[in-house]
Amino acid sequence: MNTLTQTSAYLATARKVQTHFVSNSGLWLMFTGLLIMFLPTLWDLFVVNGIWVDDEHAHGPIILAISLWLLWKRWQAIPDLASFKPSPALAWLCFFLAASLYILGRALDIIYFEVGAFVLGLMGIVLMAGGMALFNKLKFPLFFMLFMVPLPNSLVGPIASLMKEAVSAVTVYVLSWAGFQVGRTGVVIYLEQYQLLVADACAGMRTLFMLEALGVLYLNLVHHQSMLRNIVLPILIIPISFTANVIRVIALALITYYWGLAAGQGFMHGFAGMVLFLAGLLLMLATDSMLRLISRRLYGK
Amino acid sequence: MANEMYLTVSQKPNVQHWLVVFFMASCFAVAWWLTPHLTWFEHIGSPQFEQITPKQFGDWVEVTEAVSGTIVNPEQQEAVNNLYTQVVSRVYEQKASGRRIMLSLAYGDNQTFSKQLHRPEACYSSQGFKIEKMHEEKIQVIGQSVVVSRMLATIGQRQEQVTYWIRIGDGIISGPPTALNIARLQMSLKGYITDGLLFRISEISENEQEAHVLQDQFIRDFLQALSPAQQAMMVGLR
Repeated sequence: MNTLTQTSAYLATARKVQTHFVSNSGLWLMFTGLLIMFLPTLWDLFVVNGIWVDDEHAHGPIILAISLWLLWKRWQAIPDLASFKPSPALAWLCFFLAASLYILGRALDIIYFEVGAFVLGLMGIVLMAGGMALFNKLKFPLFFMLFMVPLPNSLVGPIASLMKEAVSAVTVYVLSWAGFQVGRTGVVIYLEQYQLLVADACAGMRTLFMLEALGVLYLNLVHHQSMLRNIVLPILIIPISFTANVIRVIALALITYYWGLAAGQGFMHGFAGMVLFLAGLLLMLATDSMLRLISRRLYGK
Repeated sequence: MANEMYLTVSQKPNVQHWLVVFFMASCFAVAWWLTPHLTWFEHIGSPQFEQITPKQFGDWVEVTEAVSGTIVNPEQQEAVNNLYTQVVSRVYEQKASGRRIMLSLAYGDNQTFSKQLHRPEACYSSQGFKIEKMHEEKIQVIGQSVVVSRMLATIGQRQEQVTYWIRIGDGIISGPPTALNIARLQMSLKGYITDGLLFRISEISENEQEAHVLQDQFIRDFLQALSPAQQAMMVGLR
């Protein structure tokens, strides 16, 4: 009797899984197509160019994993596809856009076109399966995926060098205010007998992207109703990440000053990177709490 | 009952869905057909720059003793290892005058996205140098005109007169930084994964005019000492 119920339970689950595949087979079919298209891109990202294993763009796969997990979670809340009306016209628009970006990207090796095409392709599939109604339910994970697109150096480079200059300037200002003998030419900081170069990584563009992504994710997960918090926090993340960077560079300068050059370049360098990230996260949460207070005062709730 | 509802849900593959799969598969095929699979590096004979760069030519001879204090490599070592597949750094002395020129060749056999050459003005300034008098000039060498970029890089008392060019695939690029990407696209359209060479020379000197004359002489002597195939590896085919 017991084994019988158990067996039937297993059978029911197996049947459920099977029916899920069968009942959504149109969707799975399209996913297979997308996978065929983008396996070479993934291969390039991980193996050939190794962009996604590089330090600078290593957040890409993390963002992809989070997005897919979110998609799956949101999908659970959607009971049945039959109640949605597909919008093939919009879907084909997405597919054609994705195709042109994809082909251009593959042929000319423009990786951000390819990754962008993947997001568009996924959007197309969603629209084909359930139209705008389904798209609206899944739009956050789809939008979040944009964070994994590796941005071109020609775009990031100028911003990064401005950030570097500014980070060095503020660091020198703070240190001289604290009474140190400090000077600077460009991005080289002179601290007493030490000469410190603010390198590209110190511009913290990667931290900025990661913090921005985490901030957006955080806002979405806590479901804020207040527009103030939803709009102001992502904007404030830019100065927050800048401040975190200044804290990091100051920390490194002081480590070098008190424990010597080896300490500043070795283990402590990686450690300062973590400090930077934690500082950024804490600053972000503190800012959000403040925004919450302000929005309560303003709207009474 | 709830389960029953779940089970009856269905979206069977329809014509549209099959069209989508067919469309995506054709994208894959077209892209595969369009993607360059040949490398320009092999097309020009797999240059080994350390070997083809002569240690002695014309009136020039390589200085091999330690020249600490005179040569500073502005490219950070870390970046150098990541970006370039070959790097040659030499100091040459002109026998007649005793003046010294630093030569640096940085080569990458694949100029995609993150492995692109770094421009000297960016490298120098990220090392704390101040960049001034950045401009382009046409010089005549080995029967063709070559567009070189010149700049003055200063740090403290040190004034370094720099002249360089960048070859991407079959020619030297000039103009704004986007020229590199345009050249790369053109090479892709010709069916090649393009390479890139940065040829940079510099002299520590306060006399700009004199330094440029000497550098042009160096370039002429250098290229003259190479075979036509090797010249193409340096300045391209045009």
